[in-house]
Amino acid sequence: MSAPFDTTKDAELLDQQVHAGSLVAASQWALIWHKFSRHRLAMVALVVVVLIYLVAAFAEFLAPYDPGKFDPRYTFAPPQQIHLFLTDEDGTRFAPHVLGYKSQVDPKSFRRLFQPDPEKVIPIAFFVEGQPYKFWGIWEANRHFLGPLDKADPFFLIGGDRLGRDLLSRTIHGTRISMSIGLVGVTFSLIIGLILGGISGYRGGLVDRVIQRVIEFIRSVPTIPLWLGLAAAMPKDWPPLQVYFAILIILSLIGWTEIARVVRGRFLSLRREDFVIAARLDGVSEFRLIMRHMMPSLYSHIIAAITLAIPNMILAETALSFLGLGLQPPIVSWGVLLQDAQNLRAITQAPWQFVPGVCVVVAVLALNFLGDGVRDAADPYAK
Amino acid sequence: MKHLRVAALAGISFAALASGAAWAQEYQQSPALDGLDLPSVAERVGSEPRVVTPVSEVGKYGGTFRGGMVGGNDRNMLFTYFGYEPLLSWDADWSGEVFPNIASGYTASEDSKSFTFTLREGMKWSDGSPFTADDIAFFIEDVLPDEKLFPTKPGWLTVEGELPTIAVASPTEFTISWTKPNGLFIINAASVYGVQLALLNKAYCSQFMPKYNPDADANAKAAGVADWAEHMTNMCGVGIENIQRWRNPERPTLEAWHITEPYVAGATRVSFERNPYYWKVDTAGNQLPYIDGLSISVNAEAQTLLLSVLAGEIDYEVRHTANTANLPVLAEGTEAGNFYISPRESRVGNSLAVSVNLNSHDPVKAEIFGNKDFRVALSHALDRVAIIDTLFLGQGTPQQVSPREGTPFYNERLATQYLEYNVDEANRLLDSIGLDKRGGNGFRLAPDGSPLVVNVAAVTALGANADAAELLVQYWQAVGVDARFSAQDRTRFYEEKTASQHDIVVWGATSGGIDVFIDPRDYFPFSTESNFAVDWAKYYIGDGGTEPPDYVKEQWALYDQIKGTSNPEEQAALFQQLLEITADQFYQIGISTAIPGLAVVSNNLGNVPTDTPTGWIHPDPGTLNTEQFYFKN
Amino acid sequence: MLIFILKRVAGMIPAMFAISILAFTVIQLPPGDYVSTYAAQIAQTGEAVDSAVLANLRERYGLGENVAVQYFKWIGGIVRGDFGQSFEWNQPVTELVWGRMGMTALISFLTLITMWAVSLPIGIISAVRQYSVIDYLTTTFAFLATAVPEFLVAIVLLYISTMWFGVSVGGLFSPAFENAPFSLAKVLDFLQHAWIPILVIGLGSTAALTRIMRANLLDELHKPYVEAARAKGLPEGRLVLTYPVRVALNPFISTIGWVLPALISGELIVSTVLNLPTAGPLLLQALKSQDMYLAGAFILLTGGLVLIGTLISDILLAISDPRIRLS
Repeated sequence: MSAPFDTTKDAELLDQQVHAGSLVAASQWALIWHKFSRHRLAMVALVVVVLIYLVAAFAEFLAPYDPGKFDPRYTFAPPQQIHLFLTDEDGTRFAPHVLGYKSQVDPKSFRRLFQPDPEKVIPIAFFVEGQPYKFWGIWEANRHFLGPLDKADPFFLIGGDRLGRDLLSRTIHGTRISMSIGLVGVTFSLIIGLILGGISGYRGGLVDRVIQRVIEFIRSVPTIPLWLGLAAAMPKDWPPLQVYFAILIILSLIGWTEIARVVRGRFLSLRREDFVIAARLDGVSEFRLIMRHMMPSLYSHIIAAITLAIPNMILAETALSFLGLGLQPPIVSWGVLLQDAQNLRAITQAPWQFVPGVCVVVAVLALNFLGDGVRDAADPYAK
Repeated sequence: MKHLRVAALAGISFAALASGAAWAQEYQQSPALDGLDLPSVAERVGSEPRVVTPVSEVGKYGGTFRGGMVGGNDRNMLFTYFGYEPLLSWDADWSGEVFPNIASGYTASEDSKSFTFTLREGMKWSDGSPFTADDIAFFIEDVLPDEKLFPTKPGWLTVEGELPTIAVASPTEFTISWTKPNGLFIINAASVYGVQLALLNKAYCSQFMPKYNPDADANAKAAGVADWAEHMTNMCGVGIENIQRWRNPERPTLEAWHITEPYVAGATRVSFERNPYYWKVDTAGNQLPYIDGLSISVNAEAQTLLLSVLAGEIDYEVRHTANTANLPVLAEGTEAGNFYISPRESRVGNSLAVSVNLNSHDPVKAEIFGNKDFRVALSHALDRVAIIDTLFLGQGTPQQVSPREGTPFYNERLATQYLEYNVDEANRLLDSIGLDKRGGNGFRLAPDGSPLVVNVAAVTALGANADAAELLVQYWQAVGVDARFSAQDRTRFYEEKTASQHDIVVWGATSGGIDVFIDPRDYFPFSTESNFAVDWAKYYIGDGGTEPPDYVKEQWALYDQIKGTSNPEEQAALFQQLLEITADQFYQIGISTAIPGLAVVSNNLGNVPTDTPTGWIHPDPGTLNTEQFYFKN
Repeated sequence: MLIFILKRVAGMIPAMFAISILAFTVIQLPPGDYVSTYAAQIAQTGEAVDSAVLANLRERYGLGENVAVQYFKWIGGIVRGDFGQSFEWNQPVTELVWGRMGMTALISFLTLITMWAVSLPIGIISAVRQYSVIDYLTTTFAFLATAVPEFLVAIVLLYISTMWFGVSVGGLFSPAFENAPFSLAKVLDFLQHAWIPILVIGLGSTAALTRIMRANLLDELHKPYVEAARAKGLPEGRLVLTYPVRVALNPFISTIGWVLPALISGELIVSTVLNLPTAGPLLLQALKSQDMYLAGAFILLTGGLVLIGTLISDILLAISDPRIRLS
C-alpha cells in the first residue's frame, strides 16, 4: 500500500539519523526521569518508599523477633537506647549495646515499672543468630539484621506491648501487610479503572455517560458506612488471609473511580491526537491501537494515579481496623497495632504504641510526594 | 418443721415493725421534698418500713449521682445499679443468707412446694398507690401465663414446666405454690431474678390488658404499635431485662429513684429523681434515699467513660472501666480524679474457662478431645504463673475451674489437679494417646496420620480472652500441638459453639459461690453455655443433642435432688458429690483464681462498703443498698 | 434557573433509589441476624438467655422472610415515613434517626464553613506568595494533615482537652445542658465542645482545599489578563481579588461534591471516639449488632445528605457561572 503518509519510512529515517549521531533522542521514560529527578522532595520520597518496601520484603530478617513472641517480664517495657561506646574499668571502647531493665511491680497499680540497669549490658550486633524463622515461608534461617548477641536478652528498641511483645518486630511485620494492602488493592483498582475508564474514554457516547453516572454515584456515597457494612458482612469463619483479600477488594471497589477518571480523561484527549488518528486511518486494529499506541502515553499518568491511591488504601485499612472491622490478630498490620494505641493507657503510660501511627504518616507522606512528583513529570513535554 | 433461719427472719421483721411504729412521728425527709404537696413522711413510708443500717454512718440528703453507660443497649447497668429490689434480698457480703426486703418475712413448707410471704403494711408505689399482694397476684395470674407477654417462662418460676399458683390471704399475705418441690425458689427470689415478682403495678399496668380494659387493643393501635402486648411492654417493661423498664416516666415503681429523662435510643443522658414514697428509712428515721437524683451519661466507647472517670465526672463505676487492664491508669489518676479504688471480690470459678469440645462433630477430634489425658496434657503444658503475670498483672494463683475456696462448695481435688507446668509430662501423655507421630511441620499427627489442627477461638472484643488464646496457642505449639488462634466476632463465636462446631474456646468462668446452684454450667452439661459439652446439655434441656455417658446422667440426677430440698447443708453435700464427678472427668481447663474486681468510687461518696462480691446474680452496687449512699459534701 | 434545579432534583431520584438498594444489600449481607447477635451479647456479660425467647424474637421481627419481600416492605414503609423498628432499642427508627442525623448535618455544615473560612485565605496567600515561608509551611502542613489518621488526632485531643483544660468529656454539650431547652448559654456551651470535632474532621479536607485553591489561583495568576491589569497599574490586592480569585473559585465550589462524603465519613469515625450525639456511634453500634433497619436508615440518610450537598454545590456553581446552567 502506498499512502501519502508512509510512517514506516519516516521512522526508519529517524532511526538512521539517531544512530548516526546527527540527532540526539531520549526515550519518553528518560525524559520523565530527567524531569522527575529535579524534583528534590519527590526524590527523597522515592528513596523512602523504596526503603519501606524493602522493609516489607525482608520483614522476617529485619525484625529481631517473631511478632507473636511474648514475655511476661517485659509488658509495656519502655524503649531502650542504643549506646555505641561502653565505659568500664578497662576504659571506653566501641561496643554497641543496650541496657537491660531493672523492674519492679508497683504494689498499688500492679503496673511494672522499668528502669535501665547500667549493670546489665546487652551487647548488640548486626546479623546475629536469633529466633529461627522461615523466610517468606520457604527458607529456614535464624540470622537477624540487628539484635542482642544472646538471644535470651531483652531487646526492645521501640518498647514492648501489653503482652511483652517487641513492638519493633510487630511494626516491621505490620509494614508488610499494610504496604501490600496498598499495592495489591491498587492493582485491583487499576484493573477495574483501566478497563472501565478506557472504554468510557475511547467509546464515548452512551457507554461513557453510563459509566460516568456510576462513577459519580460511587463517589457520592460516604465511604465509611459502606465499608462498615461490607466489612461487617464478611463471613466470620473466613481465615485471616481471606479476610485480608476481601478487605482489599472492598477498598478497591471504591478506589478505582479516580484511576478510571484519569484514564478516561487521557483517552478523550488522545483520541484527537494526530498520531492516533493517523494510526486509525492506517487501518490499525482497535486492540493494537489501544495497546500499542495509546497506552504508552498513559503509563506515567497511571503510575501517578497509583502512587496517589496507595496512601488512601493504607489510611482506609487503618480506619477499618480501628473500628474493629478490619484485619484481626494474629495478623499484624499498622491498623491492628494502632488499635492497641486507642486507649488511655497507651496515651498516658506507653506512648510508644503510637509508633505504627508515625509509620502510617511517613508512608502516606512519602507516597503523596512521590505521586506528586510523578504527576508533574508525567508530561515531560510541558514547560 | 420450718427452718430456724426462716423463723429468725420473721423475728427481724417484727422488730422492724415495732421500732417503725415508735418512730412514726420522727421521720425526716429530704429538703428537696419540702414544700411539695405530699402526704406526711410517716404516711408515705408506711407503718413498717424496712430499716436499713447505713454502712458507716447516717448520711446527709442531697446531690446528684453521676454514672455512665456504654454502647448499645446497656439497660442492665441501670438494673444492677438502681433496679435491684427483690422480694427478699441478699446482703452486701453475699453470705448466702436471705433477708427481708419488699417482703417482711416468709415461710417455706417442709416439702418446698409452697412459700408464704408477708408484705409491709402501708407500703406504696412511687405514685402513692398502695402496694399489696394483689400486685404480685396480677403478675403470677395474669402476666406470667400470657403467651404474648411471656412466650417463654423464667426457668426458676417453673417446675418441670408447671407455673406457680398464688393464694392471696390478705393485702399483706400471699402463698406461692407448685405441686412439686422448688428447693431453689428462695435463693432465686433473693437474686437479681427475684425482682420480677414485684415489678408491675396492677393499677397502672392492667389498663393495657384487654382483660381489664376493653379498649386496650384500640389504644395500642392509636399509639401506633401492633398489639396490646407490645403496648403494655412498651409502657410497663414487663420483664426485668426489658429496656422499657427505663422508658416511661409515668410507670410506678418500688425503686428508690424513678426515671425522668428516659433511656431511649439516641439519648445522651438518662436522669432519675427520688421516689417520694420510698419505703426504706435509716436507723435515725431519715427516709431514704439520701441522694436526690441520678444523672447517667450514655457513652459510645468504654474509653470515653474511662476518661470521665479520670476527670472526676463519675461517682461510682464498676461495670465498664473498672477492670485489671485499666488498673494502672486508674491507680495513677486517683488524685486528679478525686476517687479511690475500692476492692471487689469476684466470685467466679476461675479467671478463664478453657473448654475442649467433648462433643466435636469431627470423629477424629471427638476421639482425641474426649480423651481425658489429652486435656490433662494441655493443662500441664501451660505456664500459669507466666500467664497470670502477663494477663492479670500477677494477681491470682494457678487453679482449675472450681467453686471458690472458703465456700461450702470448694472441692480441693477439682481445684488443684494437673496445675503443674510440666512440658515433659505433657509430651509423655500426648505420646501415650497415639499422638506420637509428627508431620512435616513438626506438629503431631492424629492417630490416623491426618494433620491435627486445633482452633482456639476467642472473641476479639473481649481483650483478655483473645490475649489468653494467643498465649495458650504458643504453649500448646511448644508441645507439638498445632494449635491456632482464631479471633472471632462475638456473634460468630456464639453461633459456632452453640452448634458444637468449635475445637477449643476461651470464655469466662461463671459461678463460684452460692450461685453454683442457680447456674452450674461449668460443672456439668447444664445449658448451651456449658462450652465443653453443648450437645449433652441440649439433651438435658430437651433441645435435641446427643445422649451422654452415665456419669453425666448421674450428675443430672444429683442436681434434681438438690432442687428437691431446701435444706442448705443437704444441698451443699449433694453438690460435693456432683463435683467429685466433675473432678474425675476434668471437663474444663482453668488458669487461675478469679481476678480480684474493683470499683471506682468518688471520695465524696459515703457509705460504700469494700471487698464485697460482684456478679450478675448478686449485682454490684445494687446489693450494696445504693439508697444509703450519700455525698459527704 | 428553576428548570435547572428541577432537572437536578429529578436526576437525584435514581441515585437515591440506587443508594437504597445499596444500603439494604449492605445490611442484609452479614450472616446471622439481630437475634443471634443479641444472644451473644447477653451471654457475654454472664447473663443467661433462653433459646425459646430467641425463636420468638425472630418471628416477631419477621427475620425469616424472603429478602426481596423484606426490601419492598422496608422501602414501602420509608416512602410513608416509616423506617421500621430498631430491634435493639425496641423503638421506631424514625424516633431516633432525625435528631442524630440533624446533628451530623449540623457538624458537617459547620466544618464545611470553617474549612472554607480557613482554606480560602491561606490558599490565596500561598499562591500570591508562592515559594515564600508561608507557602512552604502551609504545603508541609497540608500534606501532614492529610496523612494523619483522624481517629488518632481525635483521641489525643480528647485527652488533652479533658485532662488539661477541664472540658467535660466528649459530647457536644456539658451535662447541665444536654437535656436543657434551647438557649444562648446552650449555644455557647455547644461551641465550647464543637471545636474539637470540627477541627479533627476538617483537618484533612481543609489541607486539601488549601492546595486546590492555591493551584487554581496559580493557574489564573499567570494568565495574560492579569499581567495586563498589573501593567495598567491596578493595586496588587484589588488585582488579585477582583478577577483571578473569582475565576479560581468556580472549581473550588465544585469540590463540595466530594468533600461532603469525606466529611461525613470522617464524622462517623470521629464521633465514635468523641462520643458525639450524631449518627456515627449509633450507626456503628447498629452495624455491629445487626440492627438492620436502624443501620439501613442511617446509610440511606447519609447518602441523601451527600446528594443534597452536591445539589447545593451545583446550584451555587450555576449561580456563579451561567455557562453551566445553560448547557
